[in-house]
Amino acid sequence: MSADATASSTIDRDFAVGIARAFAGALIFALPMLMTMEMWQIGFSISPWRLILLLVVQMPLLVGLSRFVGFERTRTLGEDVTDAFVAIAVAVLMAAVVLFVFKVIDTDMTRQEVIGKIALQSFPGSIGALLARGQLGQQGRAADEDRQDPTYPGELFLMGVGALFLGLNVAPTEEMIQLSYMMDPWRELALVLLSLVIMHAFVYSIDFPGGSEFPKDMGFWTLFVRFTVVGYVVVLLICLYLLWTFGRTDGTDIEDVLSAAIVLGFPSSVGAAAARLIL
Amino acid sequence: MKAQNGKAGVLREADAGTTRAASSPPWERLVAALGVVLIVAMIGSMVYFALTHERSVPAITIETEPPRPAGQSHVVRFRAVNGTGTTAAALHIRGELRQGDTVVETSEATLDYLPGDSERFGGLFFRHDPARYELRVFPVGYNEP
Repeated sequence: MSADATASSTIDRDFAVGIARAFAGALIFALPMLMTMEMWQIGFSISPWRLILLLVVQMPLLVGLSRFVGFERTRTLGEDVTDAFVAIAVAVLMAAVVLFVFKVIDTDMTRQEVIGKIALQSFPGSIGALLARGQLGQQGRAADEDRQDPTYPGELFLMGVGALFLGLNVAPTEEMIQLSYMMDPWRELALVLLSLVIMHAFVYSIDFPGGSEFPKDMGFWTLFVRFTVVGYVVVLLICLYLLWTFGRTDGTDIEDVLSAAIVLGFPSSVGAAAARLIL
Repeated sequence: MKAQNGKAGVLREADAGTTRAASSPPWERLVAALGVVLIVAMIGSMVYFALTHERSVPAITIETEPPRPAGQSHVVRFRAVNGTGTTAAALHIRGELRQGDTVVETSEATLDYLPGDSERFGGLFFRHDPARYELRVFPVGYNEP
């Protein structure tokens, strides 16, 4: 009985530490966005359906993330789902407190404005909360070796999260559109090539996949196509989704939308390729 | 902890459904439940807003406060109220001091955003004392965000 009590109090303490880490992670990940003016404006000017879709997408994303990089050696879907919702709770509370202190939300604002602003921020915040519990919670590399080797789709999923990690910081800003207007097609083409080269350099040099080196028998072109090119396509799709969510594609012709995706794709592809390092 | 997980893993394979629910500590499940409540509430509210919200044009009314001296000029603080659910961005507000048909002085202010069913405050500076003239403050234009 007493042993039981000790065990459960240890677990409670572990959990409290885990929650503290989750708050820290949510803050680290979401702070740039909490302090970005566009994110406040998008919070209430966004089409409600797009925000709903973002909130719905967030749930399987977090469950998947918990599966691959989650903390505590989660093994069951139930635990991953629990992790995901803990991350959401932490992110929502963190966003509400910080936005209120910043006076971005206030008691005299409409419910739609307040909820929209918090809901939008809960997306990056919950990713940060989940990652932090996974990352800060493990003791060094020993735990890392223990983690599951992602399959190929899993590897692409992680790249996608990596793309969100860097892409979300800049996706809502006016600069994405501004840069795409300033750049001529040749510069955009150069940026695509630069993105691919940087991505491949990361893919090639980082232990890959799953903590081991990439298979020796995999040739340059196979590796390039399997991870870099396909990864870049995933990145571009994520960029298009983010731009659409943030209303950057509305009333914009396909050429300008593509340009903006390429611009946003640059930081996102670096994030995707470095996913193994930063996640 | 690891040994425990390993053991639990075996159990789970045998009886996945029930063991899964019991595998997380109660505190964690409580916070997770809070997360469920929060996200369901957020999605529910947004669905409600989406269904009740009609895209129209913003209707803006402006109320002014009595002028106050401010340095070498006078300031008229105003409250802009958006009576519809539609947000106005870069809302341009103009104030005029009139004497009969002639406009003595104009002043302008821009509100970055006036969300739907919300109010924002601003002020207009005038070199003449607005108390001695007829003051008109009205919205001029806006951007759709």
